[in-house]
Amino acid sequence: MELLCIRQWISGLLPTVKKWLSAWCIKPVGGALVRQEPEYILLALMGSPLKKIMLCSSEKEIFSVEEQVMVQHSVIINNMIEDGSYNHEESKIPLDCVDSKTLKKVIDYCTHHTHHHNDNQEDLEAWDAQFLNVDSNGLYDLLMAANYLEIRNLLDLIYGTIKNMIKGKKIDEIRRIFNIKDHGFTPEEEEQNRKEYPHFY
Amino acid sequence: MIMVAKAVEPKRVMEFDNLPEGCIANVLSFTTPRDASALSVVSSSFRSAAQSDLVWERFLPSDYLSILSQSQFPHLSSKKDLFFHLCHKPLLVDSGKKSFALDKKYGKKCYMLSARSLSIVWGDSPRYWRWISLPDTRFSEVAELVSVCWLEIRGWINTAMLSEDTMYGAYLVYKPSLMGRSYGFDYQPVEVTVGIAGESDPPKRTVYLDAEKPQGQSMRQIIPRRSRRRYRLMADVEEPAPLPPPPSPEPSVESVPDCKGGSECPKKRDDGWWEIELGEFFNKGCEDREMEMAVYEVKSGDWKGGLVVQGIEIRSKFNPINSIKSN
Repeated sequence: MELLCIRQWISGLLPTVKKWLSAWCIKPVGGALVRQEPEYILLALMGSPLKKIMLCSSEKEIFSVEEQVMVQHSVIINNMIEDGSYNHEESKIPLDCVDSKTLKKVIDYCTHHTHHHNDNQEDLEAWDAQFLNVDSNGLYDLLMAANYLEIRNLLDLIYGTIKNMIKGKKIDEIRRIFNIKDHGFTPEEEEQNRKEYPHFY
Repeated sequence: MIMVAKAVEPKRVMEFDNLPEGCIANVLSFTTPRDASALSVVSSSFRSAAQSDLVWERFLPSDYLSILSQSQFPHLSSKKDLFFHLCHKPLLVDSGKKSFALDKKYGKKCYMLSARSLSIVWGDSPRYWRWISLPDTRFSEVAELVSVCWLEIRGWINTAMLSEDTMYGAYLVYKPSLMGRSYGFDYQPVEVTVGIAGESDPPKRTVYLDAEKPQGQSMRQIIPRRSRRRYRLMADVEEPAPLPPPPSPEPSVESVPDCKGGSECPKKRDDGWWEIELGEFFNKGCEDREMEMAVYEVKSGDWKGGLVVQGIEIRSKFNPINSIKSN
């Protein structure tokens, strides 16, 4: 049965199907635009293979991932699919600033949050905490990747984690955490900073 | 066999200073206004990010534009300037009946209800209360107590106007007197309440309004109504008509609790006025409630005068993260 016939058949059932699929439809997550057409959901339920897209890391490693997963989370990828600049038959999306290890983690995050978006909040938070249990370098790489791909909820998660890392710390410790060797202030400016925020030094 | 030493890749080290400024600004926007200002000294990149509108727009209340539209407001170039302007210069809103400000540590909304927006029993009668203008007040008028024996002041605020997940305190902002002429509040406590409007039995407290009450003295003499002439200091005011019961007590000496500097005692504010805490409440933010705040002294029947009321201030009380109380 060709996809066109399937789509016509589904369109006929659409009003009834939409109603009881509404709880199943993938909802907007992380601010990215979403495809809510129930045809995709019904295709998944019928066991039809979901569309996949190819992401290529800076190390030229190819990752195949469900289109729905990345479209839900990444504004950049969603825009590429929407404006037709991505060709499913031939293209892969090059991500030259994201290495393989980081890209795999980003894909894991997006996939988990797509497939488990109905889980209770505590379980999701526990999974997120475990996901971000990485060293500073790993956190930095994830931040750069999430920023590049514009994955809003992952960015918010990382910003919140960084905020907790520096909360209540003195300035020397914060500079050590962020590996800031040259703060860029003149001695006079640094002296002024000390006077203004003595509790911080 | 020749062993070739494998070149060791230099260990890559994260340098947060190289992040796009937007990323640093986003991290700062997740902290508090106080911390974002302090973090500007971490590095010059942090300082630059700490100036950005992205950070300070997040600290401003989400409805700040609609609040600003209620008032004449000078144009300010940056959201940071706007934030600190609202912290230090309360804005008159609601046709001058209220003032709006922000708490500079956490950006919580604060309001002061002017005396004109309060319900003051006998407030419309010049025999009992006068409306005057003072230079050191934010409102056009304040209420000066001429003489009453039934003191009752009430104010209301809807919690929808306030910041969510915040503990708020309500404070009567007043002066004990102008030029030292007051009576009836020395050693005489008043009752204060803060509760949901219409609640039958809101929590009550007893506080003192007299800022000059000496510490350690525990004996006082009640000044009965029939002796009010001796203590009436506003010579140019016609004697007020007697008010209905309670009956005049015989002069007696009683002991009252000492004012030991807790929340039952008035405190001097930075603007030269005094304040006394009426009570507190936690605003979850998920429901609209009308909160009622009241000050009254209606049991003793003793005459009181001289008090000058600017209004009732509602401001955030604790660090919101540490003060989760249900009310």
